[in-house]
Amino acid sequence: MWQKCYTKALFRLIFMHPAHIQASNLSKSFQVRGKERSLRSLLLPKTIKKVAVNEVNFSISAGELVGFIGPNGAGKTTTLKMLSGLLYPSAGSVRVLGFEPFTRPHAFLKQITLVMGQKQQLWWELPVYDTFLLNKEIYDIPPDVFQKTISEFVELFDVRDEIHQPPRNLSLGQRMKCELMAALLHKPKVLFLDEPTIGLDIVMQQHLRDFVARYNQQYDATIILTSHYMDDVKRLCKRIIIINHGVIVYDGSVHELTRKYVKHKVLFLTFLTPIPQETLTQYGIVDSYEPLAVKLRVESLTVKQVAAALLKKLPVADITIQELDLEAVVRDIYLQKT
Amino acid sequence: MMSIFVPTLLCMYWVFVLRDNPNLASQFKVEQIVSYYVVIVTLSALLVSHMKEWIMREEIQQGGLSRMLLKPYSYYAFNALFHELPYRIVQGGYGAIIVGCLSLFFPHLFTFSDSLPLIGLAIFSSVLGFFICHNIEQMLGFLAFWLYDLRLIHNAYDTIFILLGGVNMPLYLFPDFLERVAFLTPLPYIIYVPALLFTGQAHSDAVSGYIATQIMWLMVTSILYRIVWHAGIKAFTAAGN
Repeated sequence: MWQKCYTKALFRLIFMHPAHIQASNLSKSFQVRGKERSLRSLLLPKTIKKVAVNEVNFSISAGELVGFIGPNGAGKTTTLKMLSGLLYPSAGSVRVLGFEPFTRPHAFLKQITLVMGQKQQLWWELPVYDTFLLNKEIYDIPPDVFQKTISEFVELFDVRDEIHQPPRNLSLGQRMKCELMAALLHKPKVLFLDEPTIGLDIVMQQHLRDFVARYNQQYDATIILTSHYMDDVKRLCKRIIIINHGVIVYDGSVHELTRKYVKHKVLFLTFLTPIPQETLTQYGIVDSYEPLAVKLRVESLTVKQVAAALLKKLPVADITIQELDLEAVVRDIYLQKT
Repeated sequence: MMSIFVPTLLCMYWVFVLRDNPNLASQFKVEQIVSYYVVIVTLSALLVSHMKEWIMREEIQQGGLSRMLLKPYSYYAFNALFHELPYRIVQGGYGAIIVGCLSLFFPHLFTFSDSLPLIGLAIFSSVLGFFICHNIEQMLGFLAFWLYDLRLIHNAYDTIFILLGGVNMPLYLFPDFLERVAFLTPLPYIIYVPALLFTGQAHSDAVSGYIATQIMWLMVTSILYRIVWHAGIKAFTAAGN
């Protein structure tokens, strides 16, 4: 009997990464003032409890790169703020790297970073390099490690001249590169990236994605990424957590998401002669329409019969059948759970 | 300029009062009053923090506090030593230079303590006064965790501080009752007590009492600070730009 337990524990130790992040029944609610306009409300204001995050449970192992997505107001940023220690949970428990984040011990803060696309970490009046020097002292980074990291980042992001300017003189893209450098100077083990590519052009978005992927592989860092750009999630994350109205509606691989939730396929049709839209609605949902080309969404189970019927009854020049893209799948999930 | 205008006017007022009322001149000397106002203005620049509006607006309402909370250092220490103290040293430094120059050219107008131990105690008292003021200012700023508009509270505090902190006139010119009420608060211990010590106007047997009371107020405000900070951080929503 003891041999069985010993083998199990050994197996767990060797093959299963310990959870870097563990959330159990994690909840956060805010007291919001009601809209009553009366003298009574001045003295005895009515408050409404707004639940932003409602009993979420998940566990993330060391080295995982997880996409954390949801519509606006779903609770993504609130969850990240609880994981990083900015917000005090209303209920439940959360542990990151073995610490309770909201106690904010220095040993914990030295191992994490939170990058929010809209908020800045750089000191507005100081040249960027001076902020790096300040962070070097704050995080006790040895001088040789600091120089090596700066050289590596400067070359990667091509910001040799920009780091000697104050952030107010930089463009958004340049500032985001410098923000990321400042956030990662101390080589944190856990990264919380809250919409890091927001407002950036597609070239810069690709740079950032490549950097995040490389950082994850090189340092085995645990990364939670929130983004409204599905490209970020598709290209970086093997695992995806979808949150909506404060509740987790999906937690699994991107592949499994498609398999589980894709109930439709997409038919791209081109015709030899114009076909009225009304004629097509009987075959499926018309996603986009032009008289000679249409994108039709059809249930997966009946796609063969529908395709056969279309080819038989209409002057089809070309037909292509594809899976629904990730954006459409996620959009359907957002709408299903409202 | 505005911060020295009112004390200068008041100083001139009292000099003329003493000149025209010889019976008062036996109790108060012109150099005593002039020294008091010059030192109070300098100490006001050196020791009085003005953090509450910045904490309310920039840190809590606009979310700047989020950046601070994620760094591995003490928010209190950062504000006191790296944010506020340099400002105070620069501002107070100008005042100290001006006081030094004036006392060289017009020595008959000034009287300062000539006891080195007393000067040392005055410096120690100033440090205590700085931290008492800093604690109070931060706590007033932290009210923004719960309330949106704090202008009434902040303005009321500033007014009471000007009155009871000895900014406009020495508390020994107040009626006894008002002077006793003032000394029940921490406000006279911020700049008034250090000013008395620097100008040698404090009774020698009251000095230890002043220092002990300052230490007591520093402990009280520090404990209150921690309570307010911990309660506020739980209510913090990290919203803002």
